[in-house]
Amino acid sequence: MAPRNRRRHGGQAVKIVVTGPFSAGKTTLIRTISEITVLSTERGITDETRAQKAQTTVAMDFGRISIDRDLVLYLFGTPGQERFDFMWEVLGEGMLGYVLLVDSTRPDSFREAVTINAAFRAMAPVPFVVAVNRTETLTDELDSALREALDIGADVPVLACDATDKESVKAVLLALLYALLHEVEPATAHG
Amino acid sequence: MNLEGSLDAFGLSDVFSLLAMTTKTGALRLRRTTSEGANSAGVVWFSSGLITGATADLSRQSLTRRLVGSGIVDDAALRSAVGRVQSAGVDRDGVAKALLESGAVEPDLLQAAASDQILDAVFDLMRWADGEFAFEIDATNPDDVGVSIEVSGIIEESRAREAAWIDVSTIIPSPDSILSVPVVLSADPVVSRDEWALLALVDGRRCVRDLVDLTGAGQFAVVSTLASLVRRGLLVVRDVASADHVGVVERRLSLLGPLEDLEVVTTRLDSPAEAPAELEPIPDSGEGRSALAGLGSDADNSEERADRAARADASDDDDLDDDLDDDLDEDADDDFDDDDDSEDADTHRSSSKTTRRSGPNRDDVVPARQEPFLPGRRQAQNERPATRAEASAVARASGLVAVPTAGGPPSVGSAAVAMDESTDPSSIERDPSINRSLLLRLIAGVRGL
Repeated sequence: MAPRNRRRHGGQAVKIVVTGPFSAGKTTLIRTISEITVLSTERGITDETRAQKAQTTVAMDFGRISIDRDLVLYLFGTPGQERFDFMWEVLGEGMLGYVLLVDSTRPDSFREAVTINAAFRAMAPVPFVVAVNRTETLTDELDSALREALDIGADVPVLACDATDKESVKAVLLALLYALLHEVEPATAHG
Repeated sequence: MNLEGSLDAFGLSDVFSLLAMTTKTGALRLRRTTSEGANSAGVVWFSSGLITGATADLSRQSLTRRLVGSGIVDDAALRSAVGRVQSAGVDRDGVAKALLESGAVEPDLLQAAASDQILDAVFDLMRWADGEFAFEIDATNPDDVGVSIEVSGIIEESRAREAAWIDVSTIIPSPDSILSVPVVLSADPVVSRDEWALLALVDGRRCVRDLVDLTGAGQFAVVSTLASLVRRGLLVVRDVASADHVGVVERRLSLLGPLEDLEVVTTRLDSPAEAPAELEPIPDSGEGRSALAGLGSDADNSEERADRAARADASDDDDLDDDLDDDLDEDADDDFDDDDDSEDADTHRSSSKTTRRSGPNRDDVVPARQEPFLPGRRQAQNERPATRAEASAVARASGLVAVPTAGGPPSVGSAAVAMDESTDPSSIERDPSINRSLLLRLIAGVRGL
């Protein structure tokens, strides 16, 4: 679908999507940084994944960061269960880029992250970063394992993240924005 | 799972953005209880994230009222459409859609009215300081007449109106404000047809709320036009503490009676002239101009008479609104009682007032005016059909994207445009507005959190 120029207050609204496997911490990340009460469409889990957490996001999380008077950044969190993957394309429409959030304590979820990332990369050729939640430092071993599994090169930032810490979440968003800037600048220089 | 919440926690513009970005279809229902304890309810209809209809007052057929106020629906067509809707039961279409389907209104006129209705309704709803909202997914707009407008454009327009509204509301302070036409103008009046159509409804008794209801044109449009007329001295906001112009002129002229050696008789102000005039359509646009010319000559006569009266009152020659003696003021105050009391006041005035047999009475000073229906709003943009490339550019630049649905061509505001059908709906593209400057602002903003 053609991108829409989303203007608000006479300015512009842009969107970043936060995606990742079930229970990676997407809702927490958005809640940590959003200036509004996050609209979270969670409900109780009824299947075997209930052991991991009691509720899951079934449609999306929705957060907002007012950059200035004329610019608003919206954060959309995707549902973490595959049966809701029909929402991914809807949420991905017009996004600047996306954050792929993975849980460092659950290596078994990396395979799911691979699937999600493949779907997003096929859907939209936009920059992304990989944020590794629930770890303070990213070991070389983990970094290599993730890059290999996700089939990503050195140009894609992979960074440690604590979804409950605002500074850490800011660092993730900044990494994505710098990745975007890096992609746009050559075109600007020639344009 | 329902999307619902409170407007004080989650602003309407954010709800709109959410529904647009997730391309939802359904009805966003809003309700609130005002400080006076009155309940009000509105609805905004979405189709694939675009707004297809809206009303800030669910108790009324807002879009149909707008059509009636514009004079583009006759009695028979309206009666037939209402009958169809009433007989259709629960799953019925709206009256406006019934009018469209019966061929009673032109699709482009109806779509222009629907676009205006959406803008006006959203502007009203966005001024709700509190209230609750709930999104009813997959509900369909009963008055979907083929208009779809992007949320971002609507929000931008509403914000622009908010800024203008602050200025306008200083001139027209309340929906209960009553306006009147001044007897004396400082210059020859110059008014547009739209202004004239509204001016003709001002009778010194109807309040602003009445005028909005009569025209169906939306509060913002009506109040903005009225404010413009007030600014230019063509209307005055009636101060309930002051006398009306005609009453002052009549009383002053009556003081001249003994000097002019004419028999002074008591006259009764006819009730028909006192009641708000009934609406009568005018046949064409030219009549507005001729009527305006007529007003000019009548106004000149009135000015002449007023000048005569003013000369007789040397201490008060510049202001026809000034109070006279206390005993006269008592009569004058009766004129500005509430509408409910106006009949009593008129009766009282009729029995006590004297005037010359051949002199001016209220009918002479303010002649009965035809009250035309409001013509359709003027097109704000070029009517030339846009090319597909132009249409896409306009849509992107304005944020107002119209998508063709049932019943006619797409429109941006009131201008018909065509959409680029070559767009592949399945692919997701980068927003072309993303550039280095925008990204630097985002980086600075996130850093500053």
